This record gives sequence, C-alpha cells and structure tokens, in this order.
Amino acid sequence: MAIAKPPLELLLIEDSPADVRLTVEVLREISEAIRLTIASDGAAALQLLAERVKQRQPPPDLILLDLNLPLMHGHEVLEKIKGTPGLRHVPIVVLTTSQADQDVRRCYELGANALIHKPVDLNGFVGTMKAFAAFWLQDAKLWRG
Amino acid sequence: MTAVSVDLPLPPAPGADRSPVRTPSDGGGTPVTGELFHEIVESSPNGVVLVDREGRISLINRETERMFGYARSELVGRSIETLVPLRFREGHPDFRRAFTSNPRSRLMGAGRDLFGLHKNGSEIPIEIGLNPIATNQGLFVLASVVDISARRHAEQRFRVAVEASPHGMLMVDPTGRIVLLNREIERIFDYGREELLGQSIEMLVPAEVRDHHPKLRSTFHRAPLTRPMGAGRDLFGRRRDGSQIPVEIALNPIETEEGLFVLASVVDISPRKKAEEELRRSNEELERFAYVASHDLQEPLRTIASYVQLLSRRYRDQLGGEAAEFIDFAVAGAARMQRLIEDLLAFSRVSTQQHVPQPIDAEAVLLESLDDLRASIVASDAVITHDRLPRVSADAGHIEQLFTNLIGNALKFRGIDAPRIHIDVSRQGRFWQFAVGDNGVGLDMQYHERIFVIFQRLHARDRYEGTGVGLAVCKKIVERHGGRIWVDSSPGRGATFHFTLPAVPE
Repeated sequence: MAIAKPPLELLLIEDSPADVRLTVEVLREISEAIRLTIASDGAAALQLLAERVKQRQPPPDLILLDLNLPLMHGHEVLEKIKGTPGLRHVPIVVLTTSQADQDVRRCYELGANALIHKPVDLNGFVGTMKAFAAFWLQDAKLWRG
Repeated sequence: MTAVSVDLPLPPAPGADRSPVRTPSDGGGTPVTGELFHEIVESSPNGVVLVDREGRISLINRETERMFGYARSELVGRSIETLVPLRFREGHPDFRRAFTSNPRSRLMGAGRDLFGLHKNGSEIPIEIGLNPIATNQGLFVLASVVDISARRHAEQRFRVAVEASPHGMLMVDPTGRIVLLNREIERIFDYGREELLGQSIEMLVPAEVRDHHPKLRSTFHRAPLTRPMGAGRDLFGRRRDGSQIPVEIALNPIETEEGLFVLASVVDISPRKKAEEELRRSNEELERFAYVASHDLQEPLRTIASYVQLLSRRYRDQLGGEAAEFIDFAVAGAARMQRLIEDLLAFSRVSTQQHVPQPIDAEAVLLESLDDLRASIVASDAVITHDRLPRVSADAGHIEQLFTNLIGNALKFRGIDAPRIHIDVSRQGRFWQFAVGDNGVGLDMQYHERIFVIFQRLHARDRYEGTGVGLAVCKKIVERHGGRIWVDSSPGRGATFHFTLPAVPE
C-alpha cells in the first residue's frame, strides 16, 4: 500500500504575471499534488530561500526558473542558488524562450539540472509541462531531507 | 668680320661624337667641295652656328635664322651672347672659356634646360651640341642647335594632363625614383611635390611591405603590362604621418631611351571603403534589430496566443456560435503571427549566426531534408529523384534548410498530377550548380525576381499557406555562400530553381 506523500513544493521564479497564471492554470490541469510558491524576481527568490535556510525549514523540492528576469538575470540567480550550501541539491529547471546556444551552455555551466524551451502555443506548453511533471514529479527521485 | 671660308668636316649630330678635336685633314672617303659643303650646312635641319675663340659668330645657317628670327647679316660678327637669354648671359663667357680650355665634342649644359633668346625677346627651349674645330685661323666652336619647343609643348601637355587627372598620377624611373607626380598624389600622401621628387617610391609603401616592394617592382619590369597592382589584395599607401590609406593602383609601363619608366595611377578609395563599412554596419544593425524585435515580439504574442487558446479550450463550447467564431479568428491570427515571427527569426538567424563553411556531402544533406519532409511527401504521393550529389563547401544546417524550403515549395505549389521533383547538378568553374525542378503550377516571368523578396506572396492565403519568407531565406543562404539563385518557370509548366554553391577546393 502506497504511503501518502506530502505534495511536492515547486518554486516558480517568473516576473510575468501572465506567465505565472498560465503556469498555475496548466499545472492545475496536470496534477493536484503540487504546492506552488511564486517569486516574481531573483531577489525575492533568494530572500525566500535564505529565510528557509535561516529558519531551518526545508527548501522547495524543485525550482522552475525563467531566464529573462528584471534586475537580476536568471544566470545570476542560478549561480547564487547553486553556490549556497543547503540549497545546491535542489534541482533547477530553466524555462526559457531564448534560442541562443550560449544561454543553454551557460545555464548548464552554472549548474542547471535541465533546460526547457518555452513553447509558443498553449498546446505545446501543456505538452511540455506534462512531460516536465511526469519526469520531475513522478519518475525522478528528489532529495527530501 | 665676314664669314670664313674653310673646308670644314660635316658637323656631327649633337652629342653623337665625343672624340677629341679633329682637324680637316682627319677626314677620309670622298672629298667634299666647299660649295657642296656650304649647301649641306645650309640645308641642315639643325641650326648651325660657328663661333670663334673670342665668342664672335662667324657663320650661321638658314635654320638658325629661322629659329632666332635674325637675318644672317644681323648676327655674323656679333657676340654669341646675343643669342643667350639675359638671365644666363653673365655666366656664359666663363662657360666658353671652360670649353676652349678643354675642347671636346659634347652636349652643352648636360642635364640642364637650355634656352636661346629670340630676336623678339622670347626664349626658345633648345639642345646644343658643341664641336671644337681647329683651323689654321685658330680654334672655332661649331654649335649644332635643335629647337625642342615642339617636344617641350608635348611634355607640357602631358604634364597638364597628368596634373588635371582626378586620380593620383606618379611616374618612377627605372631605379624606382619618383620623377613626376600630380596634385592628387600630394593630397593622398600628404607630401609636398618637392619632398617626393627624386625620392624612392618605397617612401610611399607601408613599412610591412616596403622590404618586399623592390622585388615586386623587378617582377613588373620583367613583364611590363598595363595592369592593376596587387589584384585581389587590399592595397595601402603610407602617408607622411605614417598612417595608411586604402588605394587602388594601376601600373602603366612607359618605354624610354633611359629605360622602363612606370606611370602609376593611384585612386584614394577611403571614401568607398568608409561607405562600405558604414553599409555593413548598418546592415548588421538592421539584422540585429530584426532579431531582437522579433524575439521581443514573441513574448507578448505568446501571452496573447496562450490566453486566447485557453479561453477557447475552456469556454468555446459554452459560448454562442458568433462568439466561438470570433475566438477562432483570434486564435488563427495569433498562430499566423507566431509563424511570421518564427520565419523572420529564421531569416535573420541566417546572417546573425556564425558562418563556417566546411566540406559537406550535399547528398547526405538532401536525404536529411527528405526525411524532414517525409509526411508531406507521402501525403502528396510525390516522386522525388536526384543525381548523385557532390561535396560542397558549405554550412550543413543552412543547406538542409535550403533543400527543405525548395522541395517544400515544389510540394506546396503542385499541379493536378502528383508532384515529380528532380534534383540535378553540374559543375560550373569553382561552383556546383544545382537545379530543383518540379511539374507544379509554375509562375509567370514577371514574378521571377519578386518571389525572393521577403514577405512577397503570389497567392491568396486561403489557397496556399505561407509567410513569404522561405525563398528569401534560400536566397540569403545561397548568397551567404557566395552563390546565386534564380528560377526558370512559366505558368502551368513547372518551375526549376537553380542555385550555385562553392565546390570543395582540390
């Protein structure tokens, strides 16, 4: 008999309210077992994560990071999280519209665990998020200290 | 004093004879009578002036009369200085004394320009040969005078022509010294005329190539032909301040008695280079702009499209017929704009991406394209054949896109019959010329150029899908590789797209 697991916590770092809402809507269609936390820029995300570490609370299980963020670019957010003990085990999936090869390489160099191109139409996005959830929220074994 | 009547030898041509003083008895061969000799002197095309030891004119001939405008009687017995311009007159007796103290046949004033004084006060450019003649009446000097006004005029005209040229003109002697230049040369190199005359041409050659330049000059001397210098290479001149100026140079050999002179025509191409550079920069900026604009447009469009789609997905069935129709239009419009932007991005990516041509197998690339197109090929029952394709020097990704676009086009603009498409190839110099021929609807000649322009479409959107970018991308890809692309077609008779790609150098 399966033991009921607490829902996975997903931190979405995304500045566009439309994109946040769209992701919320699509994830809601896909799975009930996701608890979504939202940070609208890099500074807010880092502050939220630092607070968890300070309060000895577990960090989110998975981070979904947009690259094109105001003030602090996604690369920098990635670098800071992956450079922080107590956070660097958290898988970060970069979700971007950038087609530039150097962006892809840079993300992996900075420790991204995966990079997904944001499809331009809704059906594509739904498909991508389904695949994302199937792998990261079901198949992948995450560290839940 | 009257004219002497002596037996004189024939006056040698100026400078023709450098022998020491000769006497009448030296002469061999047929003896010449005094009368015949007089006639010979008279009819000589050169001016003949016989001067005694004191510098007095003893004899002149007809040509001397003509040249200086005097009658014989006005000159004989007068000082030879009568015929010397005032500005040289004072020094002339010293020259005469120097000659009589070392009398040899020679040209007078070697290397200097000589002038005679005409009766009317004007100066005549002349050349003079001097021959000492020892007689029983003492030493005479026979001067043979040539009027070189005509030659001087020709030279003058040449100089004026050179000076007036809008191009820099520069002449160097066989040793590479600058002997002539015009105002434009002064401007291009920022030197004064006097600073350059007599200097080595290497002075105007950039330091990096200066050592090599004499060798290049001797190569030219071995095969002197009028030709552009340094064909295919960028040439630079060195200016006074050491800076370099881009130039184009044409070399013209000029054969002279003194050897091979080279007349170089030098064109300052810095305005052209600057314009090219500006054009290149502005094109790059435009490409960059197109890329950034389309990329940034994509973001809000994605939001619009996604929400219209979400609206349609969740509420379409709950809305009335008209509302559903409106939503469908919005969804279709957003989708179409997305395709446009994607194509525009693909178009600008052709030139923003690095271009690294490598030897690639065109046949393997074609097979990749056919694989991409498999669904449409099967759906249209198309038969596609091809020659064995060669290796070309190109970017594989771009060539795959090229084949995919052209074959995709042939499938799209099919006629009633199932599409038949053939790809053949032939060698054209350094290029391979490919042809993608079909049996489709074809197109009128008047559109043969226009179809390669971005966003140009020949058909209503409800007949053929498309954004009008595909062939523009093809053109850009081919031109990026240094080739060209064109179409042969007429309505109802299919179309053949030709394009060239560089062969792999052997």
